[in-house]
Amino acid sequence: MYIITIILHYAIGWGLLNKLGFRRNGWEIFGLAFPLGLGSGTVAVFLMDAMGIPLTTFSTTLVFLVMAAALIYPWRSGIKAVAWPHIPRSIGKIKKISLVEWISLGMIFALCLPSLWRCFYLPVTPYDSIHGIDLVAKYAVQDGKINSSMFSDVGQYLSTQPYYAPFAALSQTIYRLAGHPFGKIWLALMFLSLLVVFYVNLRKKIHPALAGFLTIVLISIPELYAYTFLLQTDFSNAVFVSISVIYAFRFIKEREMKYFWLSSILFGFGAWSRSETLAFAIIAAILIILFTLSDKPLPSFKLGLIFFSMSFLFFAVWNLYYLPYVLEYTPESYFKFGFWDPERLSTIWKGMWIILSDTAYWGYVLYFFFAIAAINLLFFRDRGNLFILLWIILLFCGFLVLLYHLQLGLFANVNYTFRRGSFKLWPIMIFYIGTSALFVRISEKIENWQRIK
Amino acid sequence: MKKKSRSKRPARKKRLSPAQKPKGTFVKQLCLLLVLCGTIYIYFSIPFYRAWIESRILPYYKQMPHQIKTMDLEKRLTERHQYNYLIPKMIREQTSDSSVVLFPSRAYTQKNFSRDFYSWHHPIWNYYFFGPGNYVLFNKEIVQDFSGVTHAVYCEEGRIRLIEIDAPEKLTAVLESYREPE
Repeated sequence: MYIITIILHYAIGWGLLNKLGFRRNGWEIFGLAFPLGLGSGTVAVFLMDAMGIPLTTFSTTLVFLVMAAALIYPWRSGIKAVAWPHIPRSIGKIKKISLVEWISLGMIFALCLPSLWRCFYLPVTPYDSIHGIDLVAKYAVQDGKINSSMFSDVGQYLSTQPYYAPFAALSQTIYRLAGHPFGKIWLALMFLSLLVVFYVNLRKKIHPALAGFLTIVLISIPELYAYTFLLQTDFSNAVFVSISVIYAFRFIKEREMKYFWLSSILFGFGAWSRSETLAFAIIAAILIILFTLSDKPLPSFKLGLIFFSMSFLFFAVWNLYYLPYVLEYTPESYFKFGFWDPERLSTIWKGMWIILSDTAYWGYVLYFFFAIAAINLLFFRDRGNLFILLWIILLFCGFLVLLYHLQLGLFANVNYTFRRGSFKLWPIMIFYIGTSALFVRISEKIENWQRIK
Repeated sequence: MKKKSRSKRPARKKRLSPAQKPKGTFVKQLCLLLVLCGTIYIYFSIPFYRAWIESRILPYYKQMPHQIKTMDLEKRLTERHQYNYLIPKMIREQTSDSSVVLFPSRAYTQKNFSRDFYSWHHPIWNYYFFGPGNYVLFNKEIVQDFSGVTHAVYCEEGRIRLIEIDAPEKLTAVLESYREPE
């Protein structure tokens, strides 16, 4: 049954991409369809719950089916109007994949397989998930509604975990309803989607061998890899935000509105998966305004506002409506504003650097990134991917400000919130490396060498 | 009458025969392949990444055949959570719906169990696996009335036991032992 749900999520995502105007690259659509489809699916389930429709296997599947049909079926102009995503053509391209690409793809698959299997096989393990996401999902499945009897049964023992942004809990609900015993099969597909999108976008810029190698570097970040099969909110949030930033970058470069819409929807799903993403939506919106300001025909401020509004909408529905009015919980009590404590700021700053520079978590990616950024800026004086670099720097600063105001223990702030929150940084750091002038030059040299008879 | 054009598709590219292909293409592919394999090999020869492969990826592959044979949900839960699943299961099996179970403090479980095996002592953990029950968590900071407790989770000579509270002295002894390590 959950296979049908997966297919329906792909279909919803494909339908949305179709509406946005993505038609050409079948593999790109394959990578984007699932996060988009699942994100939309969770919104649909949330709306069903808000309207009082009981959450059952039948009702959710029916809604997904209707959504997929509404997005795909050409109601007005006949079947020919459907922009099929050229999947057969993309499959045909498999024959043209070079030996080099096969090796890197084989290696990527070999590294991914244990993660995909463990997602399917292992029960939910993390303490936070058993006390939060999956607890909410398990009893939502049992009672047919998000606000289940669990909130009253063990209310006195609940901490913040059950009140996290709803994407992961709703995804768990959907896949538990669809019959997967532990629900978290969707996490494997999110991981796969990230890799496909990451690889396809790098491959547009650089030689497949380099794109493949950088994808291997991304997979082999130990901490990130562990969370590809451990259920938490952070990894799915990193998938949404990373893909969103990649497409925001493409929008800045190519000025095509479909990339902007895709990026803002995905960032919205980012806020739907972790509430603090709203703070980063401000940063992303400012960057979009700055980078489109010189382009007269584009309404920069309007674009920035739309981008932020999309995230705010997702944030507000959960934090300003559902938590206080339905679950009767006030999340803002953990924040304190308008104070100055240099010692606290310095401790958080140091703690964040200790986390980021810890090779046990991230391997040598940070040092690799610093080296490439230095070469890119000092030697090549390249500003082509300045958007990405600024995003990385501002995301770090954003975290510093956020953790400074978040009134939880400093140890928990840095060691848990930031460590897992920084998942958003790493794919983009490697994407920066891949789009750097150095890698583009190396890529050109390889391609020229291959062309010479 | 106008003739209908047959197709607007561009003519297909002629497939080159092996003899027509530029010389050295395969050799170059092979060279590139060797360079890529060499790079991946060097990358995973860095002690850190080699250790990651050896401690994570390879063991995961080694576990797979056993896991494929063990698809039973109960076994999967037991193997993954161990005590953290077995203790809630024992509590559920040995108590009735009217039983009130007192869980030890975190300090007590930390003293008697290794770090990986003390998540079970929380009422939510038990609720997650086996649904509603009358669970009470020992907490010295919150003044609680333990008078209705009928069972307590107790560790004796390294073994976990569910003891029945049938006399006030028993409860006092249990509460004392829960407090002791703090």
